Amino acid sequence: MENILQFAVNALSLGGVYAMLAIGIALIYSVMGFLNIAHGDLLTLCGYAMFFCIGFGLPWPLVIIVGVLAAGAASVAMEQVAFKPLRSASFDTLLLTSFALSAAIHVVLQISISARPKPVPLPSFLTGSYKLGDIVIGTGQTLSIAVALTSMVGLTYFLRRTTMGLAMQAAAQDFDTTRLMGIQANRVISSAFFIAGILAGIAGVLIIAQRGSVDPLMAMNPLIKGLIAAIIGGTGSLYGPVIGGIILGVLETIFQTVLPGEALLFRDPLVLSLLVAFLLVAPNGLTGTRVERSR
Amino acid sequence: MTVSPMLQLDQIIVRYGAIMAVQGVSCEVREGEIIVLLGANGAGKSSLLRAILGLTPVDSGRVWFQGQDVTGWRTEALVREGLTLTPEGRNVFQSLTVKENLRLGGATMAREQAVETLERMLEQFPILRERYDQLAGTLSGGEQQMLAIARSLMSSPKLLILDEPSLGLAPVIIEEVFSLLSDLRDQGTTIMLVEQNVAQSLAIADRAYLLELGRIQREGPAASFLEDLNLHEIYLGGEG
Repeated sequence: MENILQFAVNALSLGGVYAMLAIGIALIYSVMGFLNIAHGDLLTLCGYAMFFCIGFGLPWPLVIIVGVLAAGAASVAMEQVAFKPLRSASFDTLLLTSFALSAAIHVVLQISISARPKPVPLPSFLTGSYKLGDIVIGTGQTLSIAVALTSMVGLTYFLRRTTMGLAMQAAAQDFDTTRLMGIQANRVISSAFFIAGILAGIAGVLIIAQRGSVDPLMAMNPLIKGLIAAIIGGTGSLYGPVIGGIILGVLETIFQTVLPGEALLFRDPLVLSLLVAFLLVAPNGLTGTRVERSR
Repeated sequence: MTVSPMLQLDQIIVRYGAIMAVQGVSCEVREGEIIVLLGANGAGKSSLLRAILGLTPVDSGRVWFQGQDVTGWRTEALVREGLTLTPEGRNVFQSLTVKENLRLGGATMAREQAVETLERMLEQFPILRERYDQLAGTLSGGEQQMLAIARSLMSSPKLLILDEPSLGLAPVIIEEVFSLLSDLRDQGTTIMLVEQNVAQSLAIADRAYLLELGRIQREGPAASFLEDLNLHEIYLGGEG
């Protein structure tokens, strides 16, 4: 019983973080039609923003808010600088551009700050644990679940109830027709990047709280997990990436628990092989990927 | 006093790479009339409409709307000025509800006005009231076309352009759509209709243009178009 609860908390917290990254990736994919490889670097930028805020002696709630907003702003800036001039370019061009952007961010951070990790000490309640009966549960994990849930409820509300949210869904289906409603394409796109960035920032705070440091290349692993979650879930709806993230979290936690110590090294390869097998069976993911597009 | 036409096209040329889809089209739409632009597939109709609405760049020539040069304007800005297009086929937002589709149609309007227009639309299209909370993708073809038109009307356009509203619809539904357009004209909306359905569109139109291979081949009052059997042959030949 205890094990099950602990297992569930671990799996869901991991899955929730992956889901938030995956939603951002899927949102950009469905509105813009490409995978943004530089999406993961928003985590890193969030981390450095927090690192500098701590250096300036800001109180930690402000540190976290600035970190999350920095990721949102960086995401919008990426679109303005790198993707906007290529608005009508092909999937391949945009994909390669996002690779280049990601590499550029790594190099700039390595040269201007350092290639080595910088400490980001977040308050201890983010990394501590509490007891529920006899079971020890991480506060960070619990918080991850709560934050992920809140973000998803908020996002659902935004997408279903606000005009901009509806416009974003409409744009994912048919961008030209959305513009014919008098809705400004640039605002829809900027909003999508902003929301994706905010979600990446929130995931960034949770991930960085666990590691306690930030370095230029730290986003590689989370990015890959986010991409995989988006791909297994499918980008056809908001639920796809969430389900994908949770499946990934559950699989990783299972392997983490059952593999003997010396085999833990194989956790990620095993998870990834299972996903490759899954994609062979269901190449469009669980909820399907919209193939028909008109831009 | 001369009144400038609602929409005036002056020598519009649209290119896609080496292909010249629209080769110098001039025409005008006057306030309160229905004009129909006839042409077979590949005549350049859709390219011309996309260019008017700023969805495809105009290579050369000018677009005038209500006496204002709007060439190169953004689509969003044109819609706010009162020009709108109901695109070809079933371009409703399939995974949104009827209600949400209509809400997006009125996105540029002040809230009160949008609510008022919505009520009028639901009066005019009772079927949409019935299907209000259903996903648009679950509606029949005719219902989706009605929704697409109602959605365009939500922005209270001065000029409504429709790209092949009869495409893929059953004859009885087509009749319904055309009689609706004629009602809309009587209510004061100016309409530019692009069609392959010659007889029915000429029956409700005031004037007509024939577009062939990117050029206007003939223009005149709709009545004389109907009488011209020769045209009918040319037209059907082009379609075959």
